[in-house]
Amino acid sequence: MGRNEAARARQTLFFKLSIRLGVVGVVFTLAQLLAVVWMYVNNPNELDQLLLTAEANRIADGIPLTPGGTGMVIQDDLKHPLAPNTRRAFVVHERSGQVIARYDDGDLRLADDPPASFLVIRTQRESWGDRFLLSGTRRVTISSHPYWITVAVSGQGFRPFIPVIYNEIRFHVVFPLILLSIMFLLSNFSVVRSTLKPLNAAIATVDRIDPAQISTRIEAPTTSWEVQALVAAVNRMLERIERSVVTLREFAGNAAHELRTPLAIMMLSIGKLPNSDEKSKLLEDAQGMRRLVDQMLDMSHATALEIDKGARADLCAIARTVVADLTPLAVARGRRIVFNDAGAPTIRGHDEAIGRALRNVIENGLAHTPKGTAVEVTAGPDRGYSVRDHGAGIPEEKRAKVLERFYRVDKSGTGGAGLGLAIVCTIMEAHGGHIRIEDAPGGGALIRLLFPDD
Amino acid sequence: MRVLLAEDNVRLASLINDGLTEEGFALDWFATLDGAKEAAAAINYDIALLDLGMPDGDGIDFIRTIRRSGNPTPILVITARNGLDDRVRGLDSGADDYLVKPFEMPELAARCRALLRRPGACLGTTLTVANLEFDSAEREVRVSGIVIRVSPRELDLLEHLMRRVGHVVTKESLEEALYSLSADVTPNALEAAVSRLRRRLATAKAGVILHTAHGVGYMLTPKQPVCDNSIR
Repeated sequence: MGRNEAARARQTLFFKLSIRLGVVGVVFTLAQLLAVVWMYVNNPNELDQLLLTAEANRIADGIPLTPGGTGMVIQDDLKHPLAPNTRRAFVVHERSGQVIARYDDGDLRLADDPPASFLVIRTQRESWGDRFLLSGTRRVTISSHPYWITVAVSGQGFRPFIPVIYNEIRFHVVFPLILLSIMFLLSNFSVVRSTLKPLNAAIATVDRIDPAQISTRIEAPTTSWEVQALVAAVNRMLERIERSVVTLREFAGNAAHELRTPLAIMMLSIGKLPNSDEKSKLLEDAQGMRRLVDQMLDMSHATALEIDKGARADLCAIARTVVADLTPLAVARGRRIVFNDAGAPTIRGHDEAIGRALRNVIENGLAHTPKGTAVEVTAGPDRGYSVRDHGAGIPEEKRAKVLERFYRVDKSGTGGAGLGLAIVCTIMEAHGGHIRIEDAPGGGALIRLLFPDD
Repeated sequence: MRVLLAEDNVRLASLINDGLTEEGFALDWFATLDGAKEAAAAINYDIALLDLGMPDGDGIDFIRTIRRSGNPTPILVITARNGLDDRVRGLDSGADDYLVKPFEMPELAARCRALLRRPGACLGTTLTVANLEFDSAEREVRVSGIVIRVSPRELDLLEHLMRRVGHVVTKESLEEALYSLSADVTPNALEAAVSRLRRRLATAKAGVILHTAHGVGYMLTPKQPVCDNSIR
């Protein structure tokens, strides 16, 4: 269940839009990084300055906060240059020109002379082939005392600059970009969600359409063109459905008249014949035909069923009427119908249609229960009926089949078109309910008609 | 018994005419609603048979017109329309019964007689099922012509069952009709009355069976069932 929901969540527009916008954000970030790197690589002077400034800042961190102290202690890690594969020396002067700290590895040395001007911040580059020597002075202020740090770095190639590029990217590109990206993604989330809101509202409205109320139309919950177009398309579809349902209903009505009147003439004419075997056979055939016409038209009516919004159906009262109507038939065939009121409620539904559904189920039971036994009809206790007979039951593999149109267990029978339970199924579906076929305890079929909550 | 028949199909009308004439009814046939309306205004029919799908209008309007004019003639609707809302629409408009085509003659005749038997309708004071007779004027029950003794309450019960012979009469309607004035009805009072009546009918060798429709009501039928085609 949870996995299905997760899979469904991945299929939502909301998820897809968020993911795509997220990917776009990542691509932009990478492009920005590449642009920054490219810019630095093509601008070596900038890198020189950055490298010297970075070294000077590192050294400045080691200067004690109290001025005029016993001089600066050079920590171990300060003895190693920032850039790999380079040599480095530095000298720190006070304003008075006094050296407060110096360091060199013996190869590269700096003079103790104070900088030529305390005003100038300079960077100088000397190159031999791909070797270079950088030197420069930076001014730093610690506890409002100025210091001058002179640094010299010698090295080869481009590699020594990688750490400064890395630092530069880290502080000036990645940090702001991550901040921006997070803000971008968060705003994506809410922008996408609020944009899709009308669509979700439209979906909810379409979901609420009652299939049994064909004249319903939906209204666009927003002015967005796309949603309005979708709603208009749904409405056009509803209109087409309504037209076809109305056509079907009219057809059923007209067909009823056209078929039943000649059939009535036929049956009355047969009735006038003198009694004979021929006559009873003819009458039987005509009755079979009547059942056929009845079932076909009932099927059409069930298919075109429309349930009024406020239609209420008292399940117990309906069952009483149907059982009372069918009892003479049951008695004539040597069967009984036992009705049990287990407290079925009044529900939203079409009482005549529900009555026909129940009638078909009971007739089905009467056709299968042996002589002398009863078909037991129970209304309730839940929202629906159960009808049990004492026949052979319906084998599991045939249960889906018997609900199909024109399927008959007994192929040679003359008991109609095999539409009975299909009609029941159609009427139940129009109510949002369903039909369930089970084995009755002790043998026989147990057919349940179950309606949903209002 | 004078019957008005409104039916536009000539062949069907003549068959109904023949059949009901044989059963002792006198028919006036009209192929249009207008003709039927005029006749209904001029003559007091005992019963009206009406096809809803007439060429010059909706039969439902005809029923409403008749009922508005205060005419109580029982109306039996004969129609091909058996849609889910048709029956209710027909009965709501003031029709008394609803018969869907096709049907057989005995069924139509039985429905007509049932309508005539209704209280207020004109048909006879004697109800007959097999060898059982009920004289509603004398309040007397006879089996093969011999009067049997039945208590007044069982008499009422039998009358209700005989008026609806071959159909289930619900417990509720029986209780209402039989015990409406007595406040102290025990739940089993009706069942006891039914079993007493059943014993009496059996002792008198009446050719009827009093069936129990479990959970719904009771039904009286002749022992030799007549052809009843009201049921599919």
